[in-house]
Amino acid sequence: MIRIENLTKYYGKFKAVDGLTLEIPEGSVFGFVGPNGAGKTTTMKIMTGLLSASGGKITIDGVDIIEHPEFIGDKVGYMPDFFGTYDNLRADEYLEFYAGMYKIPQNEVPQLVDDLLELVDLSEKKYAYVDSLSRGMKQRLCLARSLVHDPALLILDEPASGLDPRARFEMKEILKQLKTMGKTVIISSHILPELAEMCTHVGIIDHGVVKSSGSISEIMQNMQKERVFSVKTLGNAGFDTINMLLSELPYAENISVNTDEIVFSYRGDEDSLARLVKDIHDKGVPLLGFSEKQGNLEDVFMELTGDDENDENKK
Amino acid sequence: MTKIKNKILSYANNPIVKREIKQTFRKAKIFWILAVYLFALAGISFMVLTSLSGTYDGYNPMLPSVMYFVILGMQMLLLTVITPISTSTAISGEKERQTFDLLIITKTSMYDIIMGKLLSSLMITVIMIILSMPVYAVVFYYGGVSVIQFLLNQVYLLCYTSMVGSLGIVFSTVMRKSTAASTATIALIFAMTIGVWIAIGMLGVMTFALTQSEVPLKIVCTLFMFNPIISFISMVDSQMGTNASWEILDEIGYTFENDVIYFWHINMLLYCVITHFLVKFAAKRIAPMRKK
Repeated sequence: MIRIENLTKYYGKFKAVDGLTLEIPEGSVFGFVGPNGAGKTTTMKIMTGLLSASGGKITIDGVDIIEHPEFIGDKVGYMPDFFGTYDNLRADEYLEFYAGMYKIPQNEVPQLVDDLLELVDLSEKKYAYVDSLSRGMKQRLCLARSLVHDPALLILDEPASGLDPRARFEMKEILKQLKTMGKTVIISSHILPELAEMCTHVGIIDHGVVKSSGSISEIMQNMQKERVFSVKTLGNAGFDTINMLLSELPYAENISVNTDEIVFSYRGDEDSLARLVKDIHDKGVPLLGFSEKQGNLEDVFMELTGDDENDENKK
Repeated sequence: MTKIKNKILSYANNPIVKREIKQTFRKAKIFWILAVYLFALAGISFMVLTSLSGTYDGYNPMLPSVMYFVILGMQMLLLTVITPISTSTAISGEKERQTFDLLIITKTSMYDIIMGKLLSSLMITVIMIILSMPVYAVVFYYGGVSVIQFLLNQVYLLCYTSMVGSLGIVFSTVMRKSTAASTATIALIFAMTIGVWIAIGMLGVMTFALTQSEVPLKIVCTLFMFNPIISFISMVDSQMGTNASWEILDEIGYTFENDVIYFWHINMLLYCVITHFLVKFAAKRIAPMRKK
C-alpha cells in the first residue's frame, strides 16, 4: 500500500502540489491523470527522491520515504518521460551497467539481463547498440532498466508517449504482464482511453490537488448522477414522435436531437423506460437501437478539470 | 588491510568506470587524442635531442636530464589541458544526455558516482603514462635518470591529474553547460600556474610603488605552495641535486633535517587532500534530496 498524505511542494512562491492525499492499493495499476502543469511529474519525482517535498508524507510498505530516502533505491523503479541512453553501449551492457549501479551481485547479472530482455521482448536485440534501437525499443529497454532491482513499485511517466500504435500496443502488453507479477505500477498518461483499459485505479489531479480517485468504476459511478440513453431509428424517422413521448416522460431531461440519434438523461425507474420503448414501437417508429451510453474517463476528466480552466479564462 | 582491499576492489568494480572505459575506447576520438599526445611528446623530445647533440662534439652529459625534464614538463602540460576537458563534462554531460536522474536514483552513493567519473579519467592518464614509456626509453638509453625517481614522478603526475580532474568535476556540478565547465576549469588551472606569477609581479610593483619595499616573502611563498610550476622545479631539484625550492621553504620557516622530503612530496599529499575534499563537495552538490 502506498499512502500519500498532505503532500506539498513549492517552487519559490508557486505551489505545485497542494496537500495531495492519495492511497494506492498494492498490486494495482494506478493511472495518474491531469492536465499539463497539474503536479503529476512533481509528485512522481518526489516519490523517486529526485525532489524534496515542502511538506507531507509518502509511505511505501510502512516506510516514510521522505524521512528515509535511503529506502527509495530498493523499493522504487522509475521511467521518466524524457530519458537518454548511452552511445556505444549494447543493450545487454546497458542493463549490466544499471545492475551494477543497483549493486546486484555479479554472478546474478547475466541471467537477470536475459530475463529482462525476454520480458520486454528485446532478446533478439541483446547485442545491438542502444542508439541503433527504435524509439519504442528504447522505451522498452528503459522499462527493463527500471526493473533491474525488482522494485515493488514502478513509476512510469508517459510510458507510451511518442510511440506508434504498434509500439503502444506492445508496451500495454508488457504492463499487463507486470500486473500479473504483482507489481504496483503508477502510470502518468494523457492517453485516457488506454489508461482506462490498463488501469485498475485512477487518480485525477489538477492544480496540485486530487479531484477524484479510486477504481475506475467507482469514479464513473460517482460522476454519473443520472443515466444517459441513446435512441436510433431507421433513416432517422420518427424523431418528432420520440421527442413528444420523451417530453411527457417523467424524469427524462436534457433531450438532445442529434444528426443520427436522440440522447436524453433519465433518473426514473426501469418500468417507465420499458413503457417508453413499447410506446415508440406502438406509434410505428422503426426503432433501430435503444441503449444506455457508458460514461468514459475523458468525460470525467473534462468535467473535473474543466471548471478551473473556465475560471482561469474568466480571469 | 581487508578494508583497504575492499575499497580498492570497489573502485575496480565501479560500474561507471567500466562503462566509461568501454564507451571511450569504442570511439575514434580517444585514439586521435592519444596520437596527438604521443606525437607532441616525441616531437619535442626529438627537437631537444637534436639541438643538444648538435652543440657538443662528443657525449653531452646534460642531455639525459634535460630531455627527461622536458618530456616530464611536456607531459604535465598536456595532462593539464586534456584532463579538465574530459572531466568537466562528467556531470553536465549526463544532464545534457538526460541520463543524470537515472544515475542518482540508484543505490550507488553520490561519492561513488563522482569517484567513478574521476577514476575513469585517471585511467586515461595511466594509459598516457604507459604510452610515453617508449619516449622515456630514449632517456634511459643515455642513462642518468633513476627508475625510482621516474616512477615517483609519474605518481606525482597522477596526484596532480586527480586534483585537476576533480576540479573539472566540481565545475561540472556547478555549471549547466559542459563548455562553460571546461572553460572555468582551464581558467582556474591557468590562475594557479601562470596567474600566481602574474599576480605576484603586479603585487610587487604596487607594494614597491606604495611602500618602497618588497612584498613579504611569506606571502609569496604561501601563494607558491599551490603552484604546480614550483612543484615541478622541486622535482628538478631532487633529480639534479640543486635546492632552489629548499631555499624558499627555509625562508618561510620549514627546515628539513635531511634531503629525503622535497617540496613536491608535500605538494603530492596536498593534491590528494584537495582531491578528497573536492570529490566530497561534488558528491554533496549532486545529492538529489538537496534540491529545493
